[in-house]
Amino acid sequence: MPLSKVVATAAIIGILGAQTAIGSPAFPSRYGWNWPFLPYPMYAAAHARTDSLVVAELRVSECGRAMATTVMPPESLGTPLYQLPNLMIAIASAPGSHAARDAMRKVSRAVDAEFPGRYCSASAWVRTVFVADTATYALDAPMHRAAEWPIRDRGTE
Amino acid sequence: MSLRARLDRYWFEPARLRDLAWLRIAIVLALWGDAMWPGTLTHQQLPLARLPGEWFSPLPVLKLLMLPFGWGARPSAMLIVVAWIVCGASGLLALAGAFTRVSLTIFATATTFLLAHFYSYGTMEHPQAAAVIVLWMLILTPCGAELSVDALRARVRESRARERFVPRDAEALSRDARWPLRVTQWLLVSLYLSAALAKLRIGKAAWLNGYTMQYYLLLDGSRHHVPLGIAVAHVHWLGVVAAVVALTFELTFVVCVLYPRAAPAYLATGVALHTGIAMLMQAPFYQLLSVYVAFVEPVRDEVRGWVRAWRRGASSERRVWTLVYDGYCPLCIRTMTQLDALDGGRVLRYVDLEREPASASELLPGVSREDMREEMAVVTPSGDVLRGFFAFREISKRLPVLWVLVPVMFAPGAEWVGTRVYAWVAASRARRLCDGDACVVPRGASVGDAAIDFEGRVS
Repeated sequence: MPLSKVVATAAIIGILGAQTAIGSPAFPSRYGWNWPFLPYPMYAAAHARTDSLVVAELRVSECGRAMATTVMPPESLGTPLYQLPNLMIAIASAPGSHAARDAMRKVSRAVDAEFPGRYCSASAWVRTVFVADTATYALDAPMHRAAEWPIRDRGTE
Repeated sequence: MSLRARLDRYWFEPARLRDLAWLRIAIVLALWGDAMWPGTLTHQQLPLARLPGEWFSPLPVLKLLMLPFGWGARPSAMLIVVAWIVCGASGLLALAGAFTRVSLTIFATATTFLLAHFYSYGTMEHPQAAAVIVLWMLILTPCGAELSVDALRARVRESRARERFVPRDAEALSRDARWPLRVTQWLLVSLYLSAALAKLRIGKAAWLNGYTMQYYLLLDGSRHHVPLGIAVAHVHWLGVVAAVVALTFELTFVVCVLYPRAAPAYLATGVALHTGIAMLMQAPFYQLLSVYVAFVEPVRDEVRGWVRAWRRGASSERRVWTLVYDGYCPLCIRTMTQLDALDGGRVLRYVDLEREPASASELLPGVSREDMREEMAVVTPSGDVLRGFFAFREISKRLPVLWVLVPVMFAPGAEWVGTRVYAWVAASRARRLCDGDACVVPRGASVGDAAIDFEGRVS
């Protein structure tokens, strides 16, 4: 039985209207409330020569072996792929801030939930990479520790 | 013509149901593959379910789906596993077009649930969004009317009721096939335009300076450890070219909707761009590429034009394989109906030896009708005649859907087994001597004697 044209027209207007409205710059952006109707602003910011980007990673130390650190990739921790580096960057950029403390607590609890009692401290390691004309600078520069915090203390707060 | 009539024609002009069915298959396959990909459950969904509660920030759509468990409730690992199993099973049914509307609805619910859960932990990605919108829209459409088990069953039912096989003479059209294809095309225009306008608004002309592209290649290349992406990031001019191509493509994608002859070029560019993004930046958008199938009609028309131009001067005669079958045999009628439904390229022609005896004799000179009844025959374009198992093997080579059987049919010993199985089925099948409403039902004779059983069952 053919679909009523009224229903079909409502579907056409509803789908295209929602996508066009949400995709327009004027529409207020609020995380995910409108999924699967999304704006597409990915990679929209421009960058210039000598701009830098921060590559960050989480490292953890087993209890009793504070000197040895292990890189903890997002896949091992089960966190969303892009979120862990962003939290690391937030921690590294201002380790004493309230936002950084929140991020530390969040990461600590995630580590403790995935590996209960195994790791006692965590640290945010970063490397800054520069954009240049024909080469990228400091691509292989060693990472340096930007912040360190105990897992168990914060994890059990 | 009034504006209303023009709009009516634009959105509801009859289109091929088969094109809509291809869209169903592409969308379901992409989303099913996304959900069933090895590790999606064990390395993505279940670890998220183990994260502490502060990581969980449910999307409204997940809250809606979880409403029976309470507003904002978090799915348990068990519920996620159940949804994943339901998604897998219903996706296969939707792909095959079995109970299409019901299976599509269940699949859409399950896949939306899983994706909404995945994005309820503070990270949002875009590849599946358009495909999910199209999937929900398809529930309203007759996308299961072709290339589906439902369509096959309907045709077999029709043949059984008619007691004869009638090949389909033209592609089935429906006005309800046009608007979903158009909506999907405009949906792509809208989201590409959204991406382009965001770049122009936020990045402005500087977005094209090459350094921007180098920056993003470096960012994703170092984040995902992609040496190729990092290597390409070193070449400034490549960054400029890639930025210009990407922005031009996104800004002008509307051209391939307004001027369908441009669709092949645009879609090829889109495939190349997304493949490049997947290879260099580890951001695969194959789910979005599945939405491109909405352009199957303009692409097919254009490609056919190219083929005609290429073949100009050469013989334009179509190569056709002719099947000679027993039109009084219910099993043969069912088989012909199924083959006809599977023959998307229309390479098969059918001759009923009972109702078209002159054509059958012309195709198989020197073969008596009694002999013809014993085994199905295929006459190739070059005039070769293949019978029984060998005829079926030849057909399976011609219909892409049956290619999966070809290795089995050419395996060592396949001829020995195949000819015997065919002979057994042929000898056991029933016959009804019917034409129109009248049936003559002789009893107690063998196939060779031209009459056997009444009920149409293999006895």
